[in-house]
Amino acid sequence: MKRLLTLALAAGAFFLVGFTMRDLQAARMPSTQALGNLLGKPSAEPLTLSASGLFGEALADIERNYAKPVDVSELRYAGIGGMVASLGDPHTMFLEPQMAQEFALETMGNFVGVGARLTSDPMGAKAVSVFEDGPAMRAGLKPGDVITGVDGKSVVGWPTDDIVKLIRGEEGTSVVLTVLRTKLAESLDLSMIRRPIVVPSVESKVLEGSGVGYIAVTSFSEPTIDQFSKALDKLTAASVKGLVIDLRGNPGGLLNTASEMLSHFLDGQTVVTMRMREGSEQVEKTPRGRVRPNLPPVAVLLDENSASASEIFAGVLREANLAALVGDHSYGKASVQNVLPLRDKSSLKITIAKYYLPSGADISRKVDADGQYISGGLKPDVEVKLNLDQAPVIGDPNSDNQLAEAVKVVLGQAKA
Amino acid sequence: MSDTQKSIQAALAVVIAASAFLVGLNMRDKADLGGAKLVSNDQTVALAAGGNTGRGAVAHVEDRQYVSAIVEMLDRAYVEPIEDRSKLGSGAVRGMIARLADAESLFYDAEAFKRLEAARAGRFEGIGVVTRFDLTKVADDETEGEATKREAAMLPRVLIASVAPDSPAEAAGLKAGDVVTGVDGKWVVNADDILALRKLQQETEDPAKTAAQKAEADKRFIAARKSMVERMRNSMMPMRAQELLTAGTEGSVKVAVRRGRQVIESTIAKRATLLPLVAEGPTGIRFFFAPEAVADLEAALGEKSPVRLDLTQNATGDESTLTAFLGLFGGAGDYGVIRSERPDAPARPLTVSKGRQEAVPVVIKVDASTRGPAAIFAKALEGKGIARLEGKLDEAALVVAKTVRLADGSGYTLNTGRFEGATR
Repeated sequence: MKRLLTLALAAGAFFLVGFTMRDLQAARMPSTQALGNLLGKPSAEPLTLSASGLFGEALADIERNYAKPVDVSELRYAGIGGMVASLGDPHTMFLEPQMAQEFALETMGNFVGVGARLTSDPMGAKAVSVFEDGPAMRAGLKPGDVITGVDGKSVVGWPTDDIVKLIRGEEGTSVVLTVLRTKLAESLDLSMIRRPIVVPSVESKVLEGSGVGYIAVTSFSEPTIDQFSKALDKLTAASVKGLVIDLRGNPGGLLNTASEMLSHFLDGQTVVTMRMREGSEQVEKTPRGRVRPNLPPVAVLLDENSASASEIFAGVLREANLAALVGDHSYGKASVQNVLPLRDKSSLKITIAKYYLPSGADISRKVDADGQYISGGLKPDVEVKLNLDQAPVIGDPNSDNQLAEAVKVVLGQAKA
Repeated sequence: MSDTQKSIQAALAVVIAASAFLVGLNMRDKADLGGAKLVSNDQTVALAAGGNTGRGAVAHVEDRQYVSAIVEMLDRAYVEPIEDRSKLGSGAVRGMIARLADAESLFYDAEAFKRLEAARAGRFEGIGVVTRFDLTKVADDETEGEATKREAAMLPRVLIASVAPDSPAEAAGLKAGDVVTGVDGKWVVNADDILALRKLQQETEDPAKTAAQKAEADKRFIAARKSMVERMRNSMMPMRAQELLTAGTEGSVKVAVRRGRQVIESTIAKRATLLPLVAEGPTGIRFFFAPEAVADLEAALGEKSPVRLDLTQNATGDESTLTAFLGLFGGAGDYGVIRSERPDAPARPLTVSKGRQEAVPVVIKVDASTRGPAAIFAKALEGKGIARLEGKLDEAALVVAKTVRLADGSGYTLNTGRFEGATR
């Protein structure tokens, strides 16, 4: 329950960001009127921010008169954030130290545990996936196992979150999981040592029944290149009849990673053309000599949270007629950002270029006055919304209807 | 929250995401932010001259150079030339005010600020209401005392603060206190609906429930979540809802409000509602807390004694006019204190320096639609023993907020404290 509560709160916190960001984006300032002594005169003169400038004045006003004590550094950060947001580009933003660090932590994804992804189950917690080479895998935990006890204590009916809390602990200590496995009459006790876990950005498996390979890619970071390549090795060795690459919820990442991943499919082909300020162009191509022969038919799963490198990967494959896109339209992020780290551990993320797919298509997201999606992103070849009438377990074709459709598509049972 | 906890949260993100109730918004922002940590490649770093400047930039945000360093980086690297730098400044003010996460401290762009000032002088657009926000802060109990502002949820609500007499909204039957839940067929993001969903979610995880009860709770939660996801896809932010209700004099707007358990929907034509600064009516003299109204009110008072005032549906005004109005009734003196949570300035007196010699006894009609300057005025005169109040003030309406106009026509309000009347 706490997990969900936290989520609710995280959503709330995001909400606050959304609330203000959209508000910020909606700024309609008259462009002709210059603000007194704001950021120097609105000319080409060097930019200086005098203490008497608007920033400083408002800051001093709040500091002196607001009904509650304020943290001046925090306010200044907020002011800088607002300043950057006033450009009206949702991807150009200032990341305050705390936020920048949280992202870094999230990227590393390191924590001490047993290396399994759990979801709720009436009997305890069900392992959705078990990380390669993690303590849980080495102890023999398998996806689909239901954890009903931790260190001899029954967790039947517990919120998943509390079960997770029991399972994690100090590095080097041991934990015994009691698990139920289908087809086994008796429950198993699996003992494992807690270790630092790196959450993989690629997880793969052969889907039971259909014999289709499934690769979920959660981000495009550096290790993703290798993890993706290994997943392809594993699945081709298993002679899968098709390949579903799941990019749902994948916010993107490194362009280079996308190129490397595409090099299994395309030899020295254009990935994107980036157009910078003042019109200069840069073309990103896939590395040569790595194309895998005899890959099975591919479907890429997308949803509105698939952005950036996800859209590049999916868009390029489709334009080359190498994959069908299944799911919902993607986010529509057609720009490239550069992250400039600052010495106080904050960072500035700036949109420095727009990119175009090989066909020249611009997939920029368009929103209405309420920030709601109008157009943009990649349109799927087979559009299917995630069925929320049940609690879908992503990656399980029995409950994940988008995946089920993608499986049909790669097997030629549904038309793309 | 420990790092471990945070990491586990990250690890579970996918599973959670599937059950997140604010799927749309949450994930959209994640998509924006998620790009941040990863989108960077050698080519682009080499390309942005700002990259090196960034590393060399001043180390502390309170250094004066910090802001200009940021501006310089934007100026060099941003995909489009920044032609209008003035908006960077008001953007900064907007950002700072937004950070306060205070329903009484709001930034207004130039057009909205113009409307705010007009409404304070009795000139309404739209359907003729004053709206207000409230923010429900929900602490994250999992963080156990380490909660920061960012970790707590701020859930908004748009309410009708007051309905102008003779306005389209009045004719349509809108009432102060109504919670705006929909505008033009879109769902207005509001705390009640979100909290209700959360409650359903908690019920599904109640260990005391039997399997059958759990299944039932699951069903209700899943249905409610689906409906929430659909509404999210077709929603609008509170600021925008406020704009649609209070801007423009043409066309109409479809409004859905919740009053108690009832949901009332109406389509209301917009027009200008122009009210006199001071007006005598059967329930008493009504006036706006605008500088221009002081002389008019003085004239209207004449030699009357006692005076009846009607300050219902009076929810906006210029705080700086308070002392002038108080002087008209109670003369010079202290009228109570304005308390703040600042340790350096916990209280300041509300002092009137000039006014009439003899107090004018007054009966003031008030209710929950009496807010801001009107509420403080009533409370102050009551505390002095000059006024008798008919009706009940909302204690939350006694917030003192200053208003600041910026050079480009935008502006902001800033909560400076709560008024406490003298106790007798």
